[in-house]
Order: sequence, then C-alpha cells, then structure tokens
Amino acid sequence: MISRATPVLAITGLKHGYGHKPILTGVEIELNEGAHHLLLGPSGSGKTTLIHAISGLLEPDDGSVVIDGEAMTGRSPAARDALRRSKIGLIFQSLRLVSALTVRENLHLAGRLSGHPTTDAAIDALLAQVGLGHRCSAKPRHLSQGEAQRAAISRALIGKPRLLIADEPTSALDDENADRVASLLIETADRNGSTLLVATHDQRLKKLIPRTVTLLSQSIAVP
Amino acid sequence: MIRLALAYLRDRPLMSALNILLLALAVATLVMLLSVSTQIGNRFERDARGIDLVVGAKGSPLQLILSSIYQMDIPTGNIPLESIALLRQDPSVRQVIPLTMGDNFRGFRIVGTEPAYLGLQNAKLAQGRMFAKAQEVVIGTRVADELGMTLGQRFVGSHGLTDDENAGHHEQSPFTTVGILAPTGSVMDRLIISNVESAWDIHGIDHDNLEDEVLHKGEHEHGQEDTDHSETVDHHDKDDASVSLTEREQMKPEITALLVSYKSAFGAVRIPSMINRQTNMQAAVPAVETARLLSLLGVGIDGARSFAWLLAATGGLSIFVALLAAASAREADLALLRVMGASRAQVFGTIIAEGLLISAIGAIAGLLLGHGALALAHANFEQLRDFGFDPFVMLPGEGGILLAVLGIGLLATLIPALRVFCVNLAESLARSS
Repeated sequence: MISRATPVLAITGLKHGYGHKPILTGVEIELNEGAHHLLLGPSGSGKTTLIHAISGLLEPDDGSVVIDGEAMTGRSPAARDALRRSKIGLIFQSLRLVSALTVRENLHLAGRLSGHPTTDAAIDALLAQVGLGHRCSAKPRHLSQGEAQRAAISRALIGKPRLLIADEPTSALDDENADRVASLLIETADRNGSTLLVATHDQRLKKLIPRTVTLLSQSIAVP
Repeated sequence: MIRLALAYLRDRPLMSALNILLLALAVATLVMLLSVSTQIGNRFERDARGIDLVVGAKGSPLQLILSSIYQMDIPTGNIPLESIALLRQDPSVRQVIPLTMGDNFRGFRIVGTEPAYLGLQNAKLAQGRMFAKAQEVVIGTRVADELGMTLGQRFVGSHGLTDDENAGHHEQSPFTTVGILAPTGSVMDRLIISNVESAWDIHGIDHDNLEDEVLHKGEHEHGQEDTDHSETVDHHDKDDASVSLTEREQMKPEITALLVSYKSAFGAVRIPSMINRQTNMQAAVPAVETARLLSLLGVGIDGARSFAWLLAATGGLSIFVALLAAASAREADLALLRVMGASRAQVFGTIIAEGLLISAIGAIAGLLLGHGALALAHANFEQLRDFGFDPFVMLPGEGGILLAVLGIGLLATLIPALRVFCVNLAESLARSS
C-alpha cells in the first residue's frame, strides 16, 4: 500500500458568497508540502475571499479547508486564530507592518504571536537575508515599497509557517522590485520548507512560478 | 500588548504628552486640594484637642481661637488675672490653662503658661527639664532645629508676635533654655514656652503679691498641677528703666486667654453664656469656630475641586477622542495584528492598555507634580511651614484619586476598543489591503 503525505492545503467543495451573489462556487484545491502555486484570476474572481477562507479570516458558507491535517472550517473564531497563528504566514499588497513598531519589533511581535519568540540576533540575520540588515531599526513609514514588502515576507516567515500565502505581493512594485520580491518569496519559502500560494493578477510572476490555479469568475477553480 | 500600546504612545508623542499633561494637571490640583484641606482639618482638630472653650478679651471669636490655640493671629487683648480663679472655682470646669502672649524670638512666639499646657498635646521633653521659674523656657522641636538652639542657651525676646528688627528687645530679662520638646506634630513644635510670670517680669509688671492668691487659687481643689515658684528670683533687680514707678503701679498682671476644659457637659451649657453675658470677656468654642472657618475655606476648596474634576473629565474626553481617531487611523494595523494571529481580545486589550497607560502615567505624573508644587509652596510660604504642613505626606484619598483617574481612562477607551473588537476583519482587510 502506498502512503500519501498529508497535503499542506486541502480545499473541498468550498462555496461562499456575499448576500445573493456567489463568489466561490465549489473550489477544490490540494497543495503538497513545498509546492509553489500562483492563484490567478481577474479582479472580482474571489482570490481574496478564497485567501480569507483558507486563513480562517472568514467562515465559508459551505465546504472544507484543511491546513496540514487540521480543519480550519467549522471552528470557533478563536480556534481559527490559533490555527492561523501556528500554520499560516500571510503577506498583503499594502498591509505589511505595524506602523508604530520598528522592523525588528514587528518581527518580534510576529514571533511572539505565532508562538516562536526569537532573539534580536536571529531577527537581524533573517532581515540580512532579505537585504534589510541595515533597516532593522527603521519604522515602516521610512521604508521604500520594496523594502517594506521584503520586511513583510520576513515577518510572515518568522513563525515558520507550513503555508505561506501572499495576496498581490508585487502589484504595487516596479519590474525590478517585483522580480526581487517574487524571487525572495520562493527562496525563503524553500529555505523554510513552506508551501507557497501567491494570489495575483500580475502575469510577470508566471515565469518564476509556472504552476497555477485559476479562478474564473463565479466558477470552479481548475488546478 | 503593553509593549505595543507603549509603542503607539511613543509614535504620537505630542498627542500622548497633551493627554498626559491634562490628566496630570487635574490630578496635581486634586492632590494639592486634598492635602491642604485634610492637613488643615487634622491640624485644627489636633491642636484643639482637650480644649472645650477659650476665654479672652472681647472681639472676634475666630481671632481669639486662632491666636490662642493655633498661634496664627493677633490676640484680641488681655483679660484680668482674676478670671482664672473665677473659672477654676466653677465645679463644672476640669482644667483652666492661662496663656500670655505678645513677644517672640526670631519669629517664634513666646507663650507664658503652665506645664499643664504641654499635657494638651502630650508633649514630652526630649532634652532637659520643665521650666520651673520665670525666664526659664522649654522650646519646641522646630524652634530648636531652625534656630539651632541648645540647652542652657540664653536669648532675649522681642516685642510683638512676628520677627521685626525695629521692635524693642527685652534685653534686661533674657530667657534661658532649660528643655527641648520632642516633636508633637502640633502648634507646640514652634513655640517657646515659659511660665506666665515671665511675661509680666519682662514687661516690669509687679505680680509677687498676686501670685498665690489669684493665679493659683482653685488649682488644688481641681487637682491641677502645682507649679513651684519658690525658686522665683527677684526680678525687681532687673526693672525696665524705661518704665516709671507710676506706670508700674498702674500696670496690673493680666493674661491673654484661658484654655478651658469641662468636667461635665453642664459646663458647656452654662459657662459660655455666663462669660459672654456677665463679664467683660468673651468665650469662644473651638469646635464651632473651627467648623465655621473650615466651612468658609471649604467653599473655595469645593470650587477648585470641581474645576479639577472638570479638568480630569476633559482629559478623559481627550483620550476618548484621540483613541477613537487612532482606532480608525490604525484600522490597517489592527487588521494586520489579527492576521498575524492576535485574538480579538488581544487587539481590544491593546486599545484598553493604551488608554490605561496614558491615565496611569498622567496620574503618577500628577501625583509627583502635586507634591512637588506643595513642596515649592512649603519652601516659599512661611505660613505653611508655621502650620507644620508636610508636603510629602501621602493620604489615603490620593489612592482614590488615582483609581478615579484610571476609571476615567478606562471609560474613555471602552468605546474605541469595542469598535475595534466588533470590526469585521474581512471587511477591514478589504479596505486596508
């Protein structure tokens, strides 16, 4: 008998809508450990709704989401918070860092919240890996867009998540920075052993992450 | 979450400082008012302990009380020596203590009285012995400390109750310090105490023939402490050259006031009206006059206290406005915290902690500011020092003020925090990301 590894993300029959308008209509996705996928789809196709459902930020109308063998759906909000803390790292287009904290303090806070408190030295080393060794003490408002996104990647990885989800991480960046951030995402996810799912409509990323999941508007996802 | 709340405070230093300043000013004002009113009330109560009635010359009863008990005003005048006997012979009187006043040494009042006066405040001798004859004095602890006086030290008193370089000095009748009192926390700490004969002697008033028959008449029947004047020196050797024989013959020994305590409640009913109606003296009840004075002071204190609470409420309102604005401005931050795994309660706690931190820092700063201002006032106003005011004494009511200010801070944060608690994270993220 051949044993199959537990997928890091398994979505079955996921449905969700707002009012009478269906957004997700039976999504089926399975991502294995260490895989990299692009989640493609036009605006309004439900990419963000799907990410929220995967990360437990909303409870879908129907279907199940299982993260590394643990069901995200059907849990209390507090239990979803706990599962998200321990298994998922999230990166957004503009929601990157807590404004009142320095880059280093942001990583400390993320580490503590995820149950992986870490030292200044480890954080500084992580920031050095993403080219921000010299910006540890800077406040987010003093960072460039590219620097802030790289800092957000470090922040998302500090808790060593099993699943790293990035929502439009490169949309606001120029080509050079977009390439740099995408390469960094892949590199750091690989180093960490995290499965990577990047939701985007940025076609530039296809050359770096060829495997795609496409969401068509109000239709089932096709792996 | 406390560290995060602190970071938000540091991130808006001007707004945080203004909110803290508002609360600190309110707390400082409240602390000052509480300290002053409480210490004045306590001091009045303590100094008047064991005194049911004060008898003195006609005039303002409040002035009589202030001058005789608290040594804070000018006496209303003098009364005949015979008044002592009149009261001591009354069966409802337990104790009569005569006082003579009118001189000072470097601003400290010299009071002529009897050793029983010290018993009113349970004053004990820290050094030396009790005065036993005219021109011997026992000094209060503040007198000794501030003037650096020691046992055996001789000094000359001056006319008047305040230090005045132009006032005449009684150089012919120097005093000798024979005792120093232990601290009492009362008016006695700042007095120079002698017997009543000293006052007459330095003013050249002949009293030898009157002492036994008038001054001490009635003492033995009422168990009063006997003062031994057998060693009294003949002060006529030191007659004031400026006082002529004719004037001396005209000057009769008088006293300034009498401190009276009753043996029975019946005395309280009968004696004041008897004194006020049938003699040329007045009787003033300390409890009544003190209550009247505190009531007059209380109007001002209540007004200032209302203003201070208004200031505290303004501080609370300012925190409320600041946090409400911050909660909206920080929607993205708070959403990110939730994304990072912070629970609703933790995010709610961050807002509450921020409000409480502002309140706590404001309250502690206000406490320090209040006591600092009191210390400054104490250093600059002699009246406060004379009053024995302690700017650093902490009163239980101050804990109440701190708790009330924390309560205001908590109340001010509740609505912004609840708004954050109830926010729909998905919608918030959609707006922020």
